[in-house]
Amino acid sequence: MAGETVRGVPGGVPTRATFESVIKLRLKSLWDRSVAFWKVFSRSRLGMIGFIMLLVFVAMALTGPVLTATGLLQNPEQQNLDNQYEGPTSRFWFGTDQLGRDLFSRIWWGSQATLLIGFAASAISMGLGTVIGLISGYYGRWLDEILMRIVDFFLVLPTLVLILILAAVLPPPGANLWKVIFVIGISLWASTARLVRAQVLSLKERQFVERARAVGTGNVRIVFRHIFPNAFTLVFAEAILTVAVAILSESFLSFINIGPADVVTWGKILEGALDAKAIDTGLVFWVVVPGLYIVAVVMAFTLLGFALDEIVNPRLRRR
Amino acid sequence: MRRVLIRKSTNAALTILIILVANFLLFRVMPGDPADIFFRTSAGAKIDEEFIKKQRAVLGLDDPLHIQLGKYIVNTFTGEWGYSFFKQTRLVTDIIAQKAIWTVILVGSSTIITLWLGMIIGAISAWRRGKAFDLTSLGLGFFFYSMPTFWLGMILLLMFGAGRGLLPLFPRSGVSTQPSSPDPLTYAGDVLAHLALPAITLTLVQIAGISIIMRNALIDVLTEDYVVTAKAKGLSERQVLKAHAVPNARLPMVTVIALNLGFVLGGAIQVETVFNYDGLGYLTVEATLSKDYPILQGLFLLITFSVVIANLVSDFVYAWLDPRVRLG
Repeated sequence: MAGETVRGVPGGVPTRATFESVIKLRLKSLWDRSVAFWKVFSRSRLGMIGFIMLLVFVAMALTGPVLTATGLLQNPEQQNLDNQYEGPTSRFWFGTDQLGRDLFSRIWWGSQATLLIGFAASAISMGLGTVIGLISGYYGRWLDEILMRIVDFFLVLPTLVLILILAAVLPPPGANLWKVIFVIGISLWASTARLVRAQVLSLKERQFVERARAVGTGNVRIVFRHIFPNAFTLVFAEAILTVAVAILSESFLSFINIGPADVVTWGKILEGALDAKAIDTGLVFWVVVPGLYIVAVVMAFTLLGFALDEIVNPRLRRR
Repeated sequence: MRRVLIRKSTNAALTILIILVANFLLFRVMPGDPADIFFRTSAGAKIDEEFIKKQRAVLGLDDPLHIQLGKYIVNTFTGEWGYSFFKQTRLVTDIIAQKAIWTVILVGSSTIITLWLGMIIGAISAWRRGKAFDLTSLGLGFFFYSMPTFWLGMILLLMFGAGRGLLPLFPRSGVSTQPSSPDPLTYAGDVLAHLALPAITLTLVQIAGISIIMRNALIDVLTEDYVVTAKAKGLSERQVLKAHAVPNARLPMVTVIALNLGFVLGGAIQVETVFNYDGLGYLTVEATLSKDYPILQGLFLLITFSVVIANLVSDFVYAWLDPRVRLG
């Protein structure tokens, strides 16, 4: 950054003072754009519903440790061997599991790992998809051909089959949190790559890119400073939708007992329910409630993603 | 037109090539010694030396990598897919062929019901756009779409499963009560009863996707000039819909069925797990848990091939059905 003319500031080599004012200007414009975006977004009723639902889940995830420490929430790992397989009572609101652990607090805690897996896996897939899409779209030709065939391969594969096979084949043999995140993340990037590539193809013909090239800007800088920021909002909407898919995938992995070993997730609580034959013994809460939480969180991300897509995707834009 | 189809076929062939290479690499060039990974077994299951020798020969593990890849591709097309790790006397191809029938029945029946119902719901939604029916079906569809498939299966078991269900209508697990029956009619009825809950689950999670596509396609068609003409010449709304709009809106379904296949197979894995339905999905989970690599490799190949081929076929069918594409 040092030594070059900063956009928006006249007068050649920046001094410390101009540098600070640039940062102020940038922050101001970021703030203004955020406010403008929020004004548009808050008009989408479904989007706001999704946003509020998401806030509730984030609040649950963040308050879990505090509530447990202050005793308002029971310890999710606390076993009460006198109270196994209980239905809902005043002490255990959603009943207890095979070890007598309180399902209400396990479900509350479940939001933490579930959200973490969703966000982290989506971030991996967004990063990978963006890089591949940028390279493919910007450099084109044979590199594009090769990368797009690989993308086709990932798109054609049923995601769940790919996830299961990677989970079986990749080391370590057991499953930990980060392996699960990695496996889901690298299975979901292909549609992001497609999306970014399409954006790049149209962006790279625009005048501002041509101008940047004319003044001698390097390829890498053009891609990351001029093209990527313009494609980012679309990628972001896609990433939010991907969180939902990642959470659904995690729930099934946990359900067949190859989910993350060291944390509580809703899929894992359901696995416990299946294992303990909760369906046969009529422990309805154990089966129904964790699933409803998954449905709610998936809905939240899907609503949010659709609402964002509607704002940023020029093909859907109604303004 | 021909150029497009040739390009699509070439792409499909390239994708198949990538599938072959990926399948080869995934199971062979993992960190560590390939033989070690290939024969690593979970908790104490022992594989005898004879079997390892036989596998090594089939896989050609002692050759250089590129020769191995060549052999692997030849073996794939000649049907030499090796033996299962855990049922060592059994060929992968035999096991897969035996289970495939149940998945075909499950996926086939639920896809047909989904298409039929989805198109009806989508058509009514488009016609009553923004009205109560449209909003209800969108909302309900979205609700089922957001569900983990396996959990919907559990809920249906809770409601309709024999034994403790609220309305114990259907058997809870398996493909039939007995492997076969002297009376074909009783057997067919039994198979149908076992199919009911899995098929309903798979239908419910798919239906939103299909009906929304049908709805949007029909909304597009309804703004076309020929629909206005049909109305202008005095046809009733029903006639316009039945004879002019719906047949054209149905066209994109050809592509959707193929694109949907990957999603359905993922759903089938979940459904078969919950209901212990003895098809390919159940086999996939079983093989994943027991790390039965030859089986997984075979399944991966079969599933990816069928999705690629289905997409290619749908491109050809679409081109053949739509005169604008065929003659264009």
